[in-house]
Amino acid sequence: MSIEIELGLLEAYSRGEISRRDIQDCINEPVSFGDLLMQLHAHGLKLPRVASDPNSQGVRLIRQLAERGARVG
Amino acid sequence: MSDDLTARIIVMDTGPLITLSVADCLDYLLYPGVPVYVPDAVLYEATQDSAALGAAGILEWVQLHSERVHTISTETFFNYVQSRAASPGRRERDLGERAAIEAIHDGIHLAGDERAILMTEDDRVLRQVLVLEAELTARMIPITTRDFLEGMEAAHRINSVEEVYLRAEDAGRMAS
Repeated sequence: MSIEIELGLLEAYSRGEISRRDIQDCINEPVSFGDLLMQLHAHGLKLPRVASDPNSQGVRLIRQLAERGARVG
Repeated sequence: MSDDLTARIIVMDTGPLITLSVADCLDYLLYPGVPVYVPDAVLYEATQDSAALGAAGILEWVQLHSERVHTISTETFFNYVQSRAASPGRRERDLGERAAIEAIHDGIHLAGDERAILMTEDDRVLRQVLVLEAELTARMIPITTRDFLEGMEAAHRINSVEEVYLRAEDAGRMAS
């Protein structure tokens, strides 16, 4: 059964200011990502677009691997 | 890029799996053409309730691609299963996260110059772990779901990062 998360926490999560772990710390209960997604929607909030740097090592690596994957098929 | 570059993707928490599953895009994880690993407790958290958002799709996808998608066994999850036998209603916080941290310490044996791409819904916690353990940092690269999708879009393998998120949010609307 999912626990209702207070709106302020959901808004902060949606803005990418806090993580799911921070929410769990606040309410002292496990929160599944799926429950979070549904509660975000219930309040008209978006999923956070947590990003780092488009030129980061990870993004470049994924791009290179995906390009190679397309060549290989 | 050197064609001998080797890497593997480790899915560190449920967020990437559920986001991609509900957006019907789990196959994107296979587009880089490298093996995908999921720690046992992460897979368990994502699929323990088969009616939960994305769960059925994840199970089906893992079974369908069993030669490319592998589960990493952890002591963390083994201990959890044992404790559940004594106390069946028990829920445990951060189970997946702890199993994933154990997996990158003990369950991943990188060869030569192989790198591990650690995919997570939010890389802040993971970066703290890696900063504390410099020997892991050089070859283990944290990446968020969004960054993964950005890389795929830049490689022209997917149309739009935003489209994936909108589809995932739409699934939240249909389920709520």
